[in-house]
Amino acid sequence: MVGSVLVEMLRRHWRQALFWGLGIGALTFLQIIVLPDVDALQQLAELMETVPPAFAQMFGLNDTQYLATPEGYVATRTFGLLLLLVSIYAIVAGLNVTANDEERGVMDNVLALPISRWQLVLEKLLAYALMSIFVVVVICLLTILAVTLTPALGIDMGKIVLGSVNVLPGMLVVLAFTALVGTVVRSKGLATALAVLFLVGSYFIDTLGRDAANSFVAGLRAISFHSYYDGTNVLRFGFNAGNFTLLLIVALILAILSLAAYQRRDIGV
Amino acid sequence: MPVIQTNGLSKHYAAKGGRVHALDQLTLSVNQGEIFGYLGPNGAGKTTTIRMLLDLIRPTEGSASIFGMDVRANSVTLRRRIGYLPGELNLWDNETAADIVRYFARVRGGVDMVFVRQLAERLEFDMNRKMRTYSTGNKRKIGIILALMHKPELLILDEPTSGLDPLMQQVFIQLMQEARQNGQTVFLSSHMLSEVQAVCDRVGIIRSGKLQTVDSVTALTKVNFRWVSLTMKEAVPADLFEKVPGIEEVSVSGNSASMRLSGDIQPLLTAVGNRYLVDLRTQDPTLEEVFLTYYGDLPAVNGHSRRA
Repeated sequence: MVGSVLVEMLRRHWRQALFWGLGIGALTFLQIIVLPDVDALQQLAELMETVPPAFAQMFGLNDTQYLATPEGYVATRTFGLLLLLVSIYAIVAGLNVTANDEERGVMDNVLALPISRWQLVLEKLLAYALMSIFVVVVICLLTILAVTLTPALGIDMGKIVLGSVNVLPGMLVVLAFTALVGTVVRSKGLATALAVLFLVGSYFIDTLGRDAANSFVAGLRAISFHSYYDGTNVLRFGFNAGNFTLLLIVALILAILSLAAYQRRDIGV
Repeated sequence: MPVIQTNGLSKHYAAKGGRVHALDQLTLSVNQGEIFGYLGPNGAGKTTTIRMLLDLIRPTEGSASIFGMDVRANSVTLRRRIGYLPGELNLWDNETAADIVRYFARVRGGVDMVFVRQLAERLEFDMNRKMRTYSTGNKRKIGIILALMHKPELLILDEPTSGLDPLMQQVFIQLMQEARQNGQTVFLSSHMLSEVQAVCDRVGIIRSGKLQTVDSVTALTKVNFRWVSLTMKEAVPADLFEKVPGIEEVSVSGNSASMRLSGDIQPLLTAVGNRYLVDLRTQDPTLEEVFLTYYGDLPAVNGHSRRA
């Protein structure tokens, strides 16, 4: 029956998604709750000016004066690294699309059911995309709670929502990429390694490329999905609909490729 | 029209040192309503055949059809009509058997849950435990339930009784006999000859990816040799059966003798002559003995040292 796999995945894994959301959300919550006062932020900004630019760049600290504001602090500390954190969930979820079941030898049973391979992959991808949204919603709610509990900081809740929504396309890219490598290669270990390489490689190409604007790494930034996610500046300058849409399209293409890839090969045992 | 038809079905893998022929030019038919035993040792190609029938792996050469439909082009349609039990049943450890049954029933649609409960009762299976807590035999039971629960027209069972206790093996044999009565077709792979002999109408024997023979169980066990044991009133002369045509592997012990006899029994009776015969018994070979004739040396059974 259409939708059975999707519903089953949601039934089985919503708690896992909730715990991921609560875990990462607790981190963002604490970052805001223990936010230093404005004077301390100013001192921190002055301190950061003494740090080597490459080092500061690596942590998304482009503008130390912006860092001295509560919003800047949240933008860099919370949203600067949020994509990296939620992407770990996306890798775990992406491996659940086919790689885990194939590694465990469960796939023979599943594909003996009257369901096509593409439908199985599609329904699982949709289920994990929905759970990725759920993870971000939980994080967003905890972040809003922290902002509500610290009204003196004067952080705009709308920007918190915007920053949270902005993380989703990148997360879906990682989910779809992991699903794709899981459908192409038979080994879960190899699929995991490739997904982690994709995530970490993209992150470093982007951060190093920003810092070394004249090097060849800067030229590679176009292929780093992190360069289309600007977690820090989305709070400062607003939403970049073009980048947002581009990442969604990339995620969609990767998802379609994973549907096609799984049609072709032998199922492992 | 046969339910299963394969034509030159082959599966080759690239491996170190050359290509591995997991299955080589398999041409086979399984008819409507029969229980077909697919017999062979581990690694013979049984599971490879089954996985190609289910479109889990694709043939290197040849084709296969079920109910007249190509297994690749119509795999989803066919799987509605097939119940499958894999040789090694792996499911999700943290799910209960009941959850898994409900999930599979939802995907299939139209499953009679009363029938599922009846199956569980007959197999004495508690469905409310998590998969990780089940023994091998209990995992086999959930596999049998998942294969039978939608009353499929074709059952494809890979080593179905492996891990089941003898009592449950009997329940399984009853289920197969009921399946035959209901007109269901069963393709059953096994290396347990007693199981095949108990339920199958025809048997295909496969070795190293090649089909050796296909015949009815009755015909296979009516091969041209039998085991003969006799008892005389007086001691049996040790050389009495030497040079008697068709007699091999003679074992003499006091008044009794046993031997393997090929062909007619008359030369044996001629050798006995007018000695007083207290008892004479013949026994057809078991399927196991027939099976072993396709696999080289025979092990010692019932005191006989046998060779194929």
